[in-house]
Amino acid sequence: MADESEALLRVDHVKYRKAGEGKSPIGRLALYSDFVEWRDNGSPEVFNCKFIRITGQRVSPPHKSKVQLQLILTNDEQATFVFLNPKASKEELVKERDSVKDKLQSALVEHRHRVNELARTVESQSKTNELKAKQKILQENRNLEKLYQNLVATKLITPQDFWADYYQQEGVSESNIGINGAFLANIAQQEGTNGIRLNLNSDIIQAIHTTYPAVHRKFYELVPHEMSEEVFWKKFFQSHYFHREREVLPNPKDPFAECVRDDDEEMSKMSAEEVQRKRFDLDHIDDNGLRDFVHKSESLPKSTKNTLIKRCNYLSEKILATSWKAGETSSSSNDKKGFGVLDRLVAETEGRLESQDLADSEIQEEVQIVRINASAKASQASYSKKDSTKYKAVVADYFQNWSVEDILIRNEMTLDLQEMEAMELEEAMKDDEERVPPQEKWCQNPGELGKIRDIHSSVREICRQFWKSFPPVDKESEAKLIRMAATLNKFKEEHVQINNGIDPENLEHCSQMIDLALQKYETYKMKKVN
Amino acid sequence: MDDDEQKGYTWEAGYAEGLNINEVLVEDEGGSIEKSIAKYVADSKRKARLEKRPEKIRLGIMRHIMIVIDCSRFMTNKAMPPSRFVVVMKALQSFLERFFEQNPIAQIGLITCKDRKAERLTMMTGNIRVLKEALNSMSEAFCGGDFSLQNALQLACANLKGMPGHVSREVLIVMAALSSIDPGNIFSTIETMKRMNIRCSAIGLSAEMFICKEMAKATKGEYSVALDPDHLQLLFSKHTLPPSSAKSSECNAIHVGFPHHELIKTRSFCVCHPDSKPISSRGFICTQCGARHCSIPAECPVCKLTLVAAPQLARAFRHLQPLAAFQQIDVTRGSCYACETRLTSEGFRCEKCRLVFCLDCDTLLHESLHVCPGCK
Repeated sequence: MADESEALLRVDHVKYRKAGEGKSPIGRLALYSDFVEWRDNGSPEVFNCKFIRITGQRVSPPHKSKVQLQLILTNDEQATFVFLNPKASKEELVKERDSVKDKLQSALVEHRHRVNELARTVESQSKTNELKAKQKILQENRNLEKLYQNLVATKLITPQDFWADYYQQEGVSESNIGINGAFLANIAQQEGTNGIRLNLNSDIIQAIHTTYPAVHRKFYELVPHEMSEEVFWKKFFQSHYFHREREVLPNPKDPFAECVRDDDEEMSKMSAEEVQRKRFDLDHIDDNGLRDFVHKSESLPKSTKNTLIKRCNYLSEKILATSWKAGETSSSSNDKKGFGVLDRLVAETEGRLESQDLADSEIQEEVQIVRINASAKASQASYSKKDSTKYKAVVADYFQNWSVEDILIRNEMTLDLQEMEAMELEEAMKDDEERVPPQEKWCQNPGELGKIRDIHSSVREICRQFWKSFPPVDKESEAKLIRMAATLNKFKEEHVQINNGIDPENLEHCSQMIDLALQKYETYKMKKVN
Repeated sequence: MDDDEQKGYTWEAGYAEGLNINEVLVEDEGGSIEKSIAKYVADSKRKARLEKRPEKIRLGIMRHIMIVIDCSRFMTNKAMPPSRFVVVMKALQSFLERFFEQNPIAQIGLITCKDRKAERLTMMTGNIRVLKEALNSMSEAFCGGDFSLQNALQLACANLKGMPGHVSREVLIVMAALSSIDPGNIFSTIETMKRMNIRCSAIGLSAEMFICKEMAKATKGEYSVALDPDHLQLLFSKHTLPPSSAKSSECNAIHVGFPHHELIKTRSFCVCHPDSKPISSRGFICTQCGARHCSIPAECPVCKLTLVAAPQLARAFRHLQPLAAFQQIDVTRGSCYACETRLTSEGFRCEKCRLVFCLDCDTLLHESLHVCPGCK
């Protein structure tokens, strides 16, 4: 807990009612952002109470002569303070006490909010999540796991380099979600025998909290100190706040009575705001020029639908407001919210002259002309009539009797499995000594084949890291490049050249790849020197 | 019978007349407008064929496209039988094939948007097999919730951010939803896409939406709504053509490798089949790092060099000078110059050499060969 040296409020002449013997001392009460402190004027006694211990407050009724404030703590303890400024009148004392109470209340709410946020971030500690995700990736991909074992465990590649390619946090998902405009209507209802059963889930609760900040504040005030979450939501749905289209006065004990007041205030503020989008501003697009001279009819006829309509509009306004809240920094102060951006379009449309519409629009600027020498003539062989009919007959015959195996396009770049099988059969018949034997014949047993495969993939991985750091743009990548070159050399010596029971012919390709990389490194070094 | 039977207000008739609704959407006896929709689709096919593509303008050939697939509850709607989701999957599979045929050095990534959250299905890859497998792994049961345009765009943006300046960055959104639930201001996201030169196009499946139109207009993409499965295929095929590149994109010389198809004499494993053996004893060795590949075009995973074959690049070249559309004429005699079948009713005549071809040859020449055999 941060130790705030800034007190939010200080009040003198406050008596702290001690439980034990003796006269209760008079001192000074100070309110901080994390705790409440009372200092004795006479002795060095201090009463310090952290916010987590405070569950509620109580005030003395107005008819009592003493002006008191009581803090209710956990373990059913209580701390009572009496406001005793001799120079102030009773009303002033009451005002003082009320201001302390309100300040304490809002400080408590904020504090609880902060504690909750902290708890939530501790739960989703990114570090443990990251570790878990990485473990999962290794579990799912055997090849990756083998690579990890061979390279990172043996310190050939640093873990950062390895995970930079295989573990990606950015660009995988976007999960800030907006609020569905119909979320209140979508709360699933079931008709039970004694009433209606509403199903709430965390999505809906989150939506309610973001759309109605007043409810959000109330939640932190009341839960979990005065009532449990369940009770809170039950009261919410039962309360007058939720069913306000009925013209009934709110129950004063209803915890949401405050919310009703706040909402009414906000609603009147909103209707006083000017319309953001010009096209929606009826006054702006009105054709009636005599409007100013015509007496506007006064307030709308009071009907039961009015409150419902007002509340509907208010809900829509609040939902829209949640997306503006997203904390975006606008590049210019002239940026308007949402549809206001389209004002620019409206201004364009209205200012456009018809003559401009009829003129030809220039689209050429976007397009770049490429100069192609298209005069290259295709060579055309011309055949005599006899030859041409002969060739045509061959081609026609070919197409009559074609089948897939006939069209073995040797120079085709993409290989198809079927074609290749046919080709391989053909080549198997050829007695070619240079041909590579199939993989089974490379070594004694499949275990060794597995080891060879591992070495090949390790080499590929190290080479990949090497080529990634080309061309080096800053000191860091240059250091990495040198490191990778050293790793390559090391690997070459340890695994490839030394004959640890593996036929060197099997690792020839690895040497080739490593040599190519080292060659590039040498040329780079030479160029740098010059 | 009252002769003065009111058929509606007079202004209604005047309004409808101005919109030409009666001509475009003619109702047949049963009151169905299916025939007129089919006619409209056939018309747009014909128009697409006759469209004069601009010649000799700079095109973005190295394309990186993120395809966003709407996986909201609107996709389970049966408006396009058996369901929109199934139709879109099929259209995507054939689109992928044609796309990689026409754009050998391009790459595609997939994003799904379900329940207002956008998730990346596959990374940017030029490997069509990976993409097809990812598409097959999606099922209709997966769809639900609402669509979020802003999350989809932001995710696509995050994935396209790292690309070098000379590639053409595009986003193609396939959207059935009629609304978008966004956490913030969608207009600022559109401005961001515009600033980063990312071309956002959309294909709608239900109705035209203003926000999609705005997005396409601001980022110079294309937006159209598919009327039926055939029309959807047509709209997808329009996206196989490379777009013209903006003046602002950089043009650099790009390092490309041209490996030979050769018999590999060393015992080696290929990068494309890590668990089994290479397809054949012939393959390609990367010119820069020496890794073995079975097929190209490919991006070498070891050194990130683009490996292509010269004929494939030449294939991309033909987009710069597309074959002009042939004129349709009525003929009663003669035979097609290319395949020598008898011409019956219609023929297609090349403007330059005035030779006539039949319908099949015309389609083949325009879609695959891009060369007129008669012109020198």
